[in-house]
Amino acid sequence: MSLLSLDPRQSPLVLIELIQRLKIKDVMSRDVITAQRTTSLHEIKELMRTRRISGLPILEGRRLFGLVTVEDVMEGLERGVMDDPAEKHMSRNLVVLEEEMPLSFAVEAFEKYSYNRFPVLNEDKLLAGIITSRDITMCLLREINEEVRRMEDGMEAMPVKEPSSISRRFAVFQHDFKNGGKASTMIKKLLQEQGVKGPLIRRAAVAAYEMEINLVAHSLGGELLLLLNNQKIEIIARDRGPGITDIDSAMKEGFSTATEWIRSLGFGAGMGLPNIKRVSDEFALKSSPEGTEIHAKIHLKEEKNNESK
Amino acid sequence: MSEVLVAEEENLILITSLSSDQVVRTAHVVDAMGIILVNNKTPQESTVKLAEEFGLNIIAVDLPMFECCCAVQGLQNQS
Repeated sequence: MSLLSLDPRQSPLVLIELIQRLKIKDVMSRDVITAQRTTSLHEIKELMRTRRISGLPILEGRRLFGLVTVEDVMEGLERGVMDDPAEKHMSRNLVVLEEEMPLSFAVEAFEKYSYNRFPVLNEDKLLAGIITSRDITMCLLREINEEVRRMEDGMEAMPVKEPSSISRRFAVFQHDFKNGGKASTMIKKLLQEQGVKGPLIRRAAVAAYEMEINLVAHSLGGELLLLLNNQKIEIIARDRGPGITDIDSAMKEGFSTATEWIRSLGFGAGMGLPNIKRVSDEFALKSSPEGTEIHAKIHLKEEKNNESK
Repeated sequence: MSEVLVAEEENLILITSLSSDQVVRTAHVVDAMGIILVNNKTPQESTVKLAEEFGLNIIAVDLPMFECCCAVQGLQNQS
């Protein structure tokens, strides 16, 4: 059973918005019980028993080295090797998440793998925390309570022109250059109707348009999403593949895999992804052969250098 | 078109030899004032219609790109 669905047709939009807005670091547990690679299985069993946990990361210094679960300990008991160090019995092929990733990445990981927990690394690739499906559920409950309270408090106080929470989803089709850009046009119009400032609308429109053209030119088709609340505009592009094989190169200006045919239409200059990042206050990209997902967030109230762009 | 989207200036005029709908959409995204089609390109009816929808003017000229840019620059300097 999946924790939550990221499909707007299957989950309430407020949940989708929360999953996109929150980062893994907002949800994960930082107080992680760990053991070193030389710690014996016996000691690990005692840690699990006294701290009521069913798995713990194995470290070398602060670097994540593996994971021992209660199944590993049970196997050690059966084989009578409880004095062995953890490194002999731990799982080494780990799926890890990074603390700056959107929470949606964790939700997808729980959907994809049958694990109960995922270690979370910081930007230095050191263990920063651990995330479980319970962490996500509890955090979402807290956030929804807070959201409801804000809504109740703000019903009368909210100025008419204040941008309210809205979300829209647009299907985008492969090689549909005729209609490519329509979704971005509608996004721009919606933002204007919501009273968002002109420079912010332009940045959002550039991000949305670049994403939409990328979907048309390079993907097998997908969708463009707009999420808007009082804090930020978020544009999300999701596709069904074939994925970006070399993300580092794709993020460099001038790198392009576009065919001559696409170039003849005026696209494929290799500026799309760098442009999206340039106009965003926050940018995230993940890609696999199954699909690519890009998040571009533009803050409404925190005017930074990008404001002039 | 991405090179145009990079531009940060206000009140742009998009000078191009492409005459597709995407030219109009790109101009709309960057809040351009209008579009000049060079090399005597004739826009399709749908392109003109889209430009009208966005309130964008399209001018078609029988000039190469470089000469057109020089002419526009000259007009700007005069004004």
